[in-house]
Amino acid sequence: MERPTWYGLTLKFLALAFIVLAVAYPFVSVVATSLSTDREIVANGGLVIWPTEPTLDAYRVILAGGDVTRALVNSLFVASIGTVASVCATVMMAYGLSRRGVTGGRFILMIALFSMLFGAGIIPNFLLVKELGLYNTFAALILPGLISAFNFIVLRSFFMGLPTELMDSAKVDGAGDLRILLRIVLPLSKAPIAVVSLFYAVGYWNAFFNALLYLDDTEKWTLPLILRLYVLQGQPMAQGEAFAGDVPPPQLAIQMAVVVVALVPILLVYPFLQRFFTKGVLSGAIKG
Amino acid sequence: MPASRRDLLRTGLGVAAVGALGTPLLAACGGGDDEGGGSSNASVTMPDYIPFAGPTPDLPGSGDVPPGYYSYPKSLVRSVSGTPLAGGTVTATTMTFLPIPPPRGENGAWAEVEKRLGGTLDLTIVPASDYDAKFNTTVAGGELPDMVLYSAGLNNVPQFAEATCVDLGEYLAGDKVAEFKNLAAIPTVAWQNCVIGGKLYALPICRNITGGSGFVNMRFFKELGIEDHTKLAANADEFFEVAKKLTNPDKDRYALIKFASTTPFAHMFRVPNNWRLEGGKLVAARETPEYKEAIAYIRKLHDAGVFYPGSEGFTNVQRGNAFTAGQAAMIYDGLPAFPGHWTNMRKQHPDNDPRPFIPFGHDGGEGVCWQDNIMLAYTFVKKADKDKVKEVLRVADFLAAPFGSEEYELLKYGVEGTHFTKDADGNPVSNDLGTRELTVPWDKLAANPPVVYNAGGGKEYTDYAHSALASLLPIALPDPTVGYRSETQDKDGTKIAQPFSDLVKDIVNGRAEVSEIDAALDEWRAAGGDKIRGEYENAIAGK
Repeated sequence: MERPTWYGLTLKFLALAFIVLAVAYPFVSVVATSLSTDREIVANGGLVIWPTEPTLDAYRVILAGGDVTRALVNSLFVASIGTVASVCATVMMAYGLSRRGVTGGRFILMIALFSMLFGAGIIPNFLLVKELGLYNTFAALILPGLISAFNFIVLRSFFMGLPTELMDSAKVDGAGDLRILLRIVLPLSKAPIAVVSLFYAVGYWNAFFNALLYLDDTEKWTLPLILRLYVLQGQPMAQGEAFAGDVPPPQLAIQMAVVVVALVPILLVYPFLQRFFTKGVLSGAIKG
Repeated sequence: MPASRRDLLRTGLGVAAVGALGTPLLAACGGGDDEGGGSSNASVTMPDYIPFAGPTPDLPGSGDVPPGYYSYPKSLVRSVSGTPLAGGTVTATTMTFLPIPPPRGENGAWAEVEKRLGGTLDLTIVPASDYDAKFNTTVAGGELPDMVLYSAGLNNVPQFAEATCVDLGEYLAGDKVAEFKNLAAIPTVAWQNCVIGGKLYALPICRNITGGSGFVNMRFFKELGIEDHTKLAANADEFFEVAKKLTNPDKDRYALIKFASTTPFAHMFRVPNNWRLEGGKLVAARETPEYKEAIAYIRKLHDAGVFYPGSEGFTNVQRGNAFTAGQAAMIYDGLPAFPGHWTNMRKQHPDNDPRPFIPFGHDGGEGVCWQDNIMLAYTFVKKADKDKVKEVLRVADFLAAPFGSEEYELLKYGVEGTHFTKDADGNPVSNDLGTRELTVPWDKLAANPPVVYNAGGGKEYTDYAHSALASLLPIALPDPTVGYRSETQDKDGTKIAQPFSDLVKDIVNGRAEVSEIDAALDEWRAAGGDKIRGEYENAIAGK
């Protein structure tokens, strides 16, 4: 094989460095701005790269108030419970419909595929949640979207690709479907399950619109709602809202601090799942 | 009718979908009498105006000009006797622009307000930027609370109001409002904006009537020997020269920041407020020769290089930062932003001296401004029996407690000693607990009449703010279509006007020419502008 030339290596290095900078720059400026004083932010036109007088004041404000901490706990609760429930439900449905000869299997499969193409809409979903008594509960964020059709198809395709001889020999040894699922199928499916888990976790973590519609009590609000409130606050104030004696809106440092707090949990989880990600994303895409 | 700036707060697809889906449901509710677009609100009896007999102001109010206070009143007036709720519960949904407060069960200030009310006030608080989506879904799902704030988003407001809301005229028209003394202190012009489909359906969240004409930083004008912010220039030509002298790219300083609108220069050229009514016929502001001259002037300023480079893409926050940082000597921002500029700019540099811009006529003489900030939004009261409606109005009366009342202090600052203390001048200073707990948006359900006071601003602030309103309100042009409705404007007004707005943006940024305005106006008329005009003219004529 030909050895790479020095100019080829240099060009690759420069290209990669540019891409890394382009990706890292927004993140660095968000973190740096969250550690800056208001005066420095204004002097720098809004975003800081390197704070000359770093301060944790913004983090003190948002964590002392209680609303960000409470929202963080709510989001962790919804994301963890929701992810576990969704993965269990999706695995069971995918495994069940990956087996041949299941009564009504084709019909249920068609309904699942249909839901990928057509959604009920906001108001029918709202009425459904209300009628089921889920309004203003965390269950409203979890149950309506418990099984994602896309994730279901990914898992089903993977399960169908597993050698049937393994399951047949387990059946011969007296194993039932549940034991086959737990002892044979799941250990072989770590990659796609990890990916599906990450998709669900990120989806629940970022759940904003359903939380806005279904949660009236602010003590149940999740982090995206709080984040949006902080990040968008600056804009309408100029159009008639800052009245005499009003509390001034939080400055950019606080807004960036909320963004950092929202990012941290996902950043902590992702490295543990990264090794499954590439393998898992392709699973179910190519048969055989 | 709330101004179109509320459109900026809509979420995209969600609201479009909800509005589209909600409209057929809501249309089924209404009487359907208003098909065809225009509606007449001419002959509605407004609530009597009974000024609040509160603490004597340092600067008296007169007419629409609110009173001004240099410091917080030493003695307060109790404006609501007894307990409005008598053990009952009132539910409400409203928006907030501030951090959410601690929930009801953990909020001492909220508990104190409920104690004073004598019952339970169950609030659902929604971020302002997403309020329209939540409102539309709540209405479609039949979950309307006793009081609900409305700013924009419904395509058939009269039908909705008729089907689900109380005609407040039965309780407040004329001298009936005397039972609710705080509501009676709300200016009549705010009530006029709450007339929908020929009835008084809502409670106004009133503001200062005019949004003003922006602000100037006198620190830079003083360097040119200009000391008086009301006399920056004799006419537009002189202002042009002043703007060029203020611009110093080497110091990263320019005269102006590109505004989201043309407002200050429209004021200089005496452009009417949305429409001009002449002999029963309406002419849109954009159709007037004054508007064309204002656009041409802004283009002239752009070509002279006096706008901060790149500022046409700035967000509101970036504009504010640039003005605060001294990169521009003038900014267009609503008058309610004055307290923020006053505090923040002085922190940034001790010589910063923000003051309201008072528009002068382009040819000398007086300029104009607009009645474009009469109210933020309004609150509907759900249909119920007479006793319940009165209970809700008593709560609204409490929440609208004027400045100088005990109730205002409780709603704004909390309990003295727990949520705030008083400084040497007697002004309330909130502590951390007060700052957290008092962000409950009471004033987004029913608001006190305007007053000029800023705890941190002192005499100077009050003098500037009060004198600005005293100068601006007499020259504030009303919008002749206020109180009347055009269905086409409500449904498609923004969409119809968008191509023209885009062209104006291109002209003032040097990408198109003033001569293209006439063709764009023809397109606007054909796309629906003439239809909107006709609907408003019919409504005004009472047809």
